Amino acid sequence: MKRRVAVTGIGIITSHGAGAKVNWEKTKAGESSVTEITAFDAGPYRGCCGGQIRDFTAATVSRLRANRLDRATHLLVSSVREALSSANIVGPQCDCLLSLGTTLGGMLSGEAFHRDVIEKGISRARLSKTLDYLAHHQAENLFREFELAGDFLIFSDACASSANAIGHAFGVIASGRYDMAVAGGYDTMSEFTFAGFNSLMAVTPELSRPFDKNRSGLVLGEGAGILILEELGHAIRRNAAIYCEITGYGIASDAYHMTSPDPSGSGAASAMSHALRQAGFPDIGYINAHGTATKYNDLMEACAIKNVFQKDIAMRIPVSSIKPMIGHLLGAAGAVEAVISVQALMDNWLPPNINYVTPDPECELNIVTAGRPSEIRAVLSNSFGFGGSNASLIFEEYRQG
Amino acid sequence: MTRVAISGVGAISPAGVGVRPLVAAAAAGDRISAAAIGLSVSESAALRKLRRSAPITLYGVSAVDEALRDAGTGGCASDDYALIAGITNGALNFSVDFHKELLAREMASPALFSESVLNAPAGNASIAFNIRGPVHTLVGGPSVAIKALMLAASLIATGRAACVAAVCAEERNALSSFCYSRLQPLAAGALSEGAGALLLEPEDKSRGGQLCVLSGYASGMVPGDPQGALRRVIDSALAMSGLLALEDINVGVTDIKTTELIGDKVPVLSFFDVLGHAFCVSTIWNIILAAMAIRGSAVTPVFAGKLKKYAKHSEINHVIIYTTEESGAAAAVILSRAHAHS
Repeated sequence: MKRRVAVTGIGIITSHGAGAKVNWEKTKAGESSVTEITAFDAGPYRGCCGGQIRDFTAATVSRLRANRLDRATHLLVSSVREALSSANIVGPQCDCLLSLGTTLGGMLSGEAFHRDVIEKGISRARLSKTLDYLAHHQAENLFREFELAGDFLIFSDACASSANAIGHAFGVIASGRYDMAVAGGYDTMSEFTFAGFNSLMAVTPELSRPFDKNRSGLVLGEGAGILILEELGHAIRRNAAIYCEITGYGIASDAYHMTSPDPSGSGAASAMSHALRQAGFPDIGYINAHGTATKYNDLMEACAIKNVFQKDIAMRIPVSSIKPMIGHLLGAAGAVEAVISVQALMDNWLPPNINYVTPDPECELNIVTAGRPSEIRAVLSNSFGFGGSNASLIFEEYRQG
Repeated sequence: MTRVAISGVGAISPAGVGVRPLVAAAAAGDRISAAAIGLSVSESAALRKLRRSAPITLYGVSAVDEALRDAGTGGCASDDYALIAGITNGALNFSVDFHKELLAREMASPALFSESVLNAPAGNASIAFNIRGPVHTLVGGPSVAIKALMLAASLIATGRAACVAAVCAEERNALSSFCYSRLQPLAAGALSEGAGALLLEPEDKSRGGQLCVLSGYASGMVPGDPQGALRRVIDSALAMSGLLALEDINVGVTDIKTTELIGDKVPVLSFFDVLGHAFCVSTIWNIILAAMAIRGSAVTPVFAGKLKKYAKHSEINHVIIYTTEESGAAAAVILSRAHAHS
């Protein structure tokens, strides 16, 4: 018999702030935390706003040297600590899988190093900056800080990275390889990424408006999201609070283009279909869309949703993207949106797709324009990325028996 | 449980393009020059569309192309073909160039950005070979090659994929050579680059040209205790393989320069002096060489030579490839001759 997998803890940090409570309150209210970027001079770029985290410089660490750590590690330590605490897990851990997603790892350290090399020369560059540049170093840091035991896996599948990290963790628990996993993702606001998306003309100088006829691009953000996943029996035996269950994961690739989605949406539809099939076709009460507000992504996603659910059913399912509130968190997007999906499920509340004004007939969906209560039994969360990566996760309310 | 076989291999290394020069270099045992790999995009149809891609992508795609051809696959146009890439450093050259443009306040090139992201080799390979199933990029040190194999095997075991290409690729530049010569005890010029690819299929469905099976594998992390982590993963891989004792393994292969035995019982080979160190690519080259030794190739006598020196076995049936990292990460995989697998 297949093992059931429960979500027993969540941790999150975004431009809304640090912690699940503040993130959910602001998301429910449809508050935007997108502001002018101060992390670097965004003046030369097409847009100058993003979901930069304010009032956070460093997490409290006890087994690591804080000044040697990339901001990515600090974001992760903050969210992992919250997730472990909310799951009531204290002290050295039993065997678990740490499964994380990121697009660029410790890119801020990388930027600082490259700047040194170019400006001062290779022999005068601070080599210490390279230590936390590589993505797997953040996982190794977490092992040391939280005295984890087991193994880690770092997925770098662009903007589907952390959805895949969570999906993989779900799979290894369901298959019996582990009883518990710390799963999620992270990314920081770096000029490298900002300039890159700017060069692709994907950054908007205006508001981010997913699925709106006048959408003109994305705003970037930073943050981390973590879920504690456990085999249901394991969670029950230790009297853990069960937030919900994860019941489906689907992945497929476009094999189409490095930066443009396949307009037919066949890869995205395939990912959603796999997830729905694995979950046993639950009654989806909310779709947390990838919804980047770029012309081609939203068109593709709308097309894929309508193909998977049939148009009349698709038009009844509430859909929203939270990216206009906190920005596109790239490798962290899937994890942060998974945390919000879990909260939407638990609170029976549909998060709004803010800034949506003018419907686009080509993206015709049941867009949630204002947050509202709704009975939700299952949520589908989508993440798509460069290279044609498509991942979908399904969370369902926990039912005993 | 579904047993997974290696049915094709591909490589590119400082020894040349293809598995054949890799095997020849390992068999000869002479140090290969650290000169950059000369790979032309005219080498294959798959590469011709990648003129604007980073060297790491060209290496990865070239290796996957050879592995697919080696296994006799006709094409990958279905969603049960998958690809798992392992990466340590990524597209270093494009990344440096993009930073230069950034600091010069020039309009940064979109291609330099999109081709420098960590999943560019995997994304480009999925496009080149029309792979529509799961495509992942895993990031890590030398152990990530074995983790990629493990993820590939689990996709096959769960039925999500019928055929998986596992590929590792790395490129080198002046900056990485400088950094690693300062940070790690590597001799100058020891840093290497290239790619290796394996095609994995269920043992009972592979297309005849099967090299060996993955009989056991494990990875794990014991912070600050690489030897403890190594003991643990070797024990786990051994238990999974069904072998009774460590002595049943004929030879070990590792990515670091060593003359030690595993557990005072198993002789160990290293091709570090021949091929240099290319992080996760070194591990996958070792897996390819072990697979070729089991199948029977120019490198078989190198493995057999170790046997004569240390053990009573006369045939190479089981080889363990392992790696440890200073952080405490370790991984091991046991390759077995198909008929010898218990």
